[in-house]
Amino acid sequence: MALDPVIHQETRLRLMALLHALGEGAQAEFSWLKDALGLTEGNLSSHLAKLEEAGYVRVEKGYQGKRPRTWVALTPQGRAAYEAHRRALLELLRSEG
Amino acid sequence: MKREEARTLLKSLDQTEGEARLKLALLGGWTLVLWGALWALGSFLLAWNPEVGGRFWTVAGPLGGLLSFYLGARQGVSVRTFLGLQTFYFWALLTLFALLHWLLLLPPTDLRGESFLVSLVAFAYAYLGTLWRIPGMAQAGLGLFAVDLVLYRAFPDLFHLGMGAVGLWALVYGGVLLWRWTR
Repeated sequence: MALDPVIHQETRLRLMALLHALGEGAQAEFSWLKDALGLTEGNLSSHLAKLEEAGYVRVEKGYQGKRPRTWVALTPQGRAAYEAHRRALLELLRSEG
Repeated sequence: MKREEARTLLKSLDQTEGEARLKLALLGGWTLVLWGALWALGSFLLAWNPEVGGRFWTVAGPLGGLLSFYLGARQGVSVRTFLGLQTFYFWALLTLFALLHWLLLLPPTDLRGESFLVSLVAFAYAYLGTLWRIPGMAQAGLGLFAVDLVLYRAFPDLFHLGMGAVGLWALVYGGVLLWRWTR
């Protein structure tokens, strides 16, 4: 089982782990993710763009009252990719040599 | 990639996921800070002067409850999860249950009533620890119940002091978590 090059980057992997931990169907607001991961806005946006391009996250813009908000959710494809990546890492761990 | 790298990475992922769940389950640490402070102060007041302690809880209990629900609702704006919603409704039901039971069945000045309330809180943490897959939280719930049982049965005169110490621990631990998650 091969490692997913899109997810394998350290920050993107942490981001996927964070979203995965929230459970299926969960959405996290952009600023919450930024604070949780200790990233700048630009850095987080850049990583989200790559994950969105791969179909692993869904980014939705909306409003909470009058305040603009950006919501991020793991897609089913993203969830599967993250779990496959974890399995690949486990296989690596169990491999001989 | 080498095996050791994979091991380190998997450990880091487990930590990231576990930390995220703990942060949400404890409302960023505020649950422990708020209730640790109220529990410590309220319990020590009860130990010193039951009348004063009782008056304290009459005000602090409902205010603490309202603030907790506000913090939960505010978190729900930033992170929308099914688990979060379940937790919110669970605490609401438990609060209602505790209130009705305490008011109608056990008088608020009775040590049995206080012990019952503590056991409800202990159950809540044990249950939520299972729901959120946070073993430490489930163990803390069981530990709190054990402390409740031992104090009530073996050292009833020390019940409030013991609960004050538990509150202090929660306050300190919650403060550490809050600092870790907001720096």
